[in-house]
Amino acid sequence: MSVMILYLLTSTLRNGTSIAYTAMGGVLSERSGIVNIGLEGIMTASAFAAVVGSYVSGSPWVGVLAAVLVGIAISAVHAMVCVTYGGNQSVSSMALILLATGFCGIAAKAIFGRQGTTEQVANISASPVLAGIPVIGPTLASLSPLVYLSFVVLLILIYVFKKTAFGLHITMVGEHPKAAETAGISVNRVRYVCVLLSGALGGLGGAALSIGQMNLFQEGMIAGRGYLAMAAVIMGNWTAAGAFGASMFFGFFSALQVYLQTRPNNPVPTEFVQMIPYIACVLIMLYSSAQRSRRGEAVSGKPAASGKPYTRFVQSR
Amino acid sequence: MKGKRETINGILLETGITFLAIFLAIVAGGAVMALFGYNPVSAYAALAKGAFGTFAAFTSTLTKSVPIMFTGLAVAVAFKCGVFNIGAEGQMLMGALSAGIAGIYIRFLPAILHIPVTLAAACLGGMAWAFIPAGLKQKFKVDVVIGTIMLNYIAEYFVQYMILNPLKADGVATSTRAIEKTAMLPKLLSAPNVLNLGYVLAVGAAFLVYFLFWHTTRGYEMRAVGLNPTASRWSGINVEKNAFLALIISGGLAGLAGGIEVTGSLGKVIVGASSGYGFNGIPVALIAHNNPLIIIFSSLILAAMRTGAMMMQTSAGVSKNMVDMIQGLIIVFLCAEYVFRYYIKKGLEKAGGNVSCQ
Repeated sequence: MSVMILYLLTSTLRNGTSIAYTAMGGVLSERSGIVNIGLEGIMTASAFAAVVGSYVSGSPWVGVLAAVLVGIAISAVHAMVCVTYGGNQSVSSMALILLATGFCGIAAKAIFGRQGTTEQVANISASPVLAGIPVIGPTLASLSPLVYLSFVVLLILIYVFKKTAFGLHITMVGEHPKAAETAGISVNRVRYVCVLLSGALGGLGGAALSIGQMNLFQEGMIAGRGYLAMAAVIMGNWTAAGAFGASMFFGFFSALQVYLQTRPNNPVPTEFVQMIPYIACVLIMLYSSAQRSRRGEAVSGKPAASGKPYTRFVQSR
Repeated sequence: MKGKRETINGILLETGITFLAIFLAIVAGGAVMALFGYNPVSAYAALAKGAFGTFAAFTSTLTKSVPIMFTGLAVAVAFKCGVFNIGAEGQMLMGALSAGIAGIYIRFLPAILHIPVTLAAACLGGMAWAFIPAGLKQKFKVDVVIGTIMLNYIAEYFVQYMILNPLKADGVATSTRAIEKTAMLPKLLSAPNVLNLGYVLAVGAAFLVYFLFWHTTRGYEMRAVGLNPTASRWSGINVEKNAFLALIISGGLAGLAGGIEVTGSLGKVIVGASSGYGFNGIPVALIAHNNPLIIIFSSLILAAMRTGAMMMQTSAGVSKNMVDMIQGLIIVFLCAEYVFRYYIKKGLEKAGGNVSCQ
């Protein structure tokens, strides 16, 4: 029994981390007023970049760096389209997903000579440094350093939103861009920074999956984790801590899914077990939406200017 | 007063911007290919040859455009009413499954009845699947994007289970048993050319959607909601009800995409029957600016990419995923249309002209 609990706990952290990074990125972007459904695409491209970085250099940490850079690069497209050009944010997000799928396909074929998959590379799925700690050492060492880093990122984000002027600027820009601009804050600059940072965090999310949890990239490996991250943002009421917690909740259902699949003589068909995280997501969204509508919109943390373009190109129409 | 000439100018501008976006996407895609050491010219030549090289290839492109036309219409109907349906993929799968069940289990029915019944089943399957996120949105305000996308994954696993278990063909197979001959759509051309009645039905559906939008009160209300929900609410239009209906109609169209793929081309339901057709609907609707009649043509662009992609992969060595990238680029450039409008307007003003850029 305790073996099962321990397994589920570590597996939850392992599965939840990639979603958590991406969801925290989503919080940054959405709080500044830019919706990003394309988190899935950011994760795809950066999961691939992490593998390539590790493959080329032999060091998985270079892979992490590559993932962050690619995450920033692909979200720069979104930033340009949505912040500068005032394009439709949901639609632009879909472009990210297609761009990422296309990019990974071409690059995988060009670099590894294969369709839709890469070779296995050096990864960082364990933290051997922690093995020396008594009793819990071996368990802690079995988790990727990226799992621990996600908690650090969470603390930084909480600090930024609660204690810094920049955190306040993000909220202002997301709630009332015109007021922010009147107060001398550059709306576009804040939004650019937030979207690019969300790309960097999505990059960490992708890397946490492809070289933190596994050691290769396969087409379709993200399997909706980016969308789960988006749901986690809403469930967490647009706060970093809330989104982190919600991500770990989804991580638990992924862990449960893997656990049930590996059990022998499972009476439930595999396909129904594989559905668990997605059904859980729908039910959780239903629950949190019902809660929110019962308590009224006032408690909703959704930024007022979310999804609305603020640029001279659109105003000039 | 807005004159006729200005309207025509507006249409010309819109068309021009669309072609510009597609052109830029092709150029940018070529640059990416060159970056990875491929020859973009020979790759595009292979793609064009694969899609249009022979008459048989052309008919295959036409046939591929059928499900894309339906998913494009599905996305457009929802879009027009301000709903973003990224669940066409799952709705199409449920439509394919329903058509499969109706095609396999209903027997001894003449074709003239069996075909409509099978297609109606497909339409209902898609509608039922769209009903879940639509209902969740109307009753509980659950985000449509998340609802529809999650149901895509659930549909994928559910349909896979149905194909591999109760409906599975004998032996080692990743498909269902074949549907009855009476449920198959009649072919319009003989081999090696492929074209079936599905194409006619798809074009008919495009005209029906056009009629719905521009010649019925319901369509007018839906368009109004899409343009300005607040103003619509003040003029007494039920915004939630229209959004709900739009998503249901959208699901029905996506379901038909699956039904026609099964009864027209596949003859059975296979794992991965939708394979991205649902997502293809998004660029198709965008290129057509959600105009159902233009979707007849814009779906052809995507279909050509899909048929040509295999030829490009085998003869030029470029991954077939290249077409995903081109689609993404088309969307990026179409999203930037405000910028094009802005600079075109500025340029024309400088030149002394006076052109409405609405």
